[in-house]
Amino acid sequence: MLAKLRSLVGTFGYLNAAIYAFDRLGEHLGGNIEACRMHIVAQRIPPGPWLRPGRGDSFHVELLGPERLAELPDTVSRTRALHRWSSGIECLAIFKDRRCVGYIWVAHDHYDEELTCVRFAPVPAGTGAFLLDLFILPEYRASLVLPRLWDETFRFLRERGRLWIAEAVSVLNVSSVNFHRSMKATFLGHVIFLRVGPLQVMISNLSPRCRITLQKKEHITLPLWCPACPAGKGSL
Amino acid sequence: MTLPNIEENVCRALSLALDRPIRAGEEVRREQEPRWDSHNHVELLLSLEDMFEVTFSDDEIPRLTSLAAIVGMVAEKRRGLG
Repeated sequence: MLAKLRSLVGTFGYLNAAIYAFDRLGEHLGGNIEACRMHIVAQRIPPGPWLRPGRGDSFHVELLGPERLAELPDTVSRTRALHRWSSGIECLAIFKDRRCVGYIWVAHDHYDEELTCVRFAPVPAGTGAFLLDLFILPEYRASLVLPRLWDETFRFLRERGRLWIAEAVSVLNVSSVNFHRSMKATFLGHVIFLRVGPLQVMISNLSPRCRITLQKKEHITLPLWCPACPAGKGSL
Repeated sequence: MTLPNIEENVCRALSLALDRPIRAGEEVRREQEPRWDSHNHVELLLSLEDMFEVTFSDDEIPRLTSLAAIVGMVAEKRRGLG
């Protein structure tokens, strides 16, 4: 146990290891305690694709609606998926031989995070989109699925006039953090969320920096400014 | 291009991707290299395609997970070009 804790501290640092330990403890105690810390990252949508034309053509990307829920891998809960669709969030899914091998969700205006009760809102409105829950089946992770899905997502957003994307990435998801670093994403800040029974605490280095509430349904808005926009100005 | 030439160039690209020196003949496997993540894997193979003027198929890319496998595949494709 101690060795595991030491290794966690070594990998993630004291703060993140403590948050992780707190969350695991909550799981053991029946789920009334939750904790997480997320990096908020952003990047400009590039003008062109990652892959050359014709590459990755054995995979194709489709916009999936709730009527095709059964085609999604069971890594996303059915209730959560239906809730996302009903909130206007869209799902881009990537297929290989008619099998869905990955997906990503696109929130066009804002995203009400289910765990943290934070509304991530890219601003200025209409310029950015919030991406969430990028998933690729393990056996396809070292293939062209990732760049193909990434290219199609960016093409989809460019066609809708979006210029940049934001995401929340768990600090414990090392591969995702590394991926965003390699993609030259800008780290805008972080959010720490703690829940003990009905009490919720949010701490962030982004404004508004702190919120303590007992209201489970109430989302606090965290405006995410386009990295090239000086905060408060709104010009691109 | 000879097999040692191919291996030398693959080692150079792999050294850059993994941020450590890689010698010809060394046993390098993806599962033993923390820096050889999915993103690095794709970037490495796309850069090798440009370097050797070959194309790996969508099904070959996930299988090229060691120095030996990459060198073997490049050599095979280069022979096909000749």
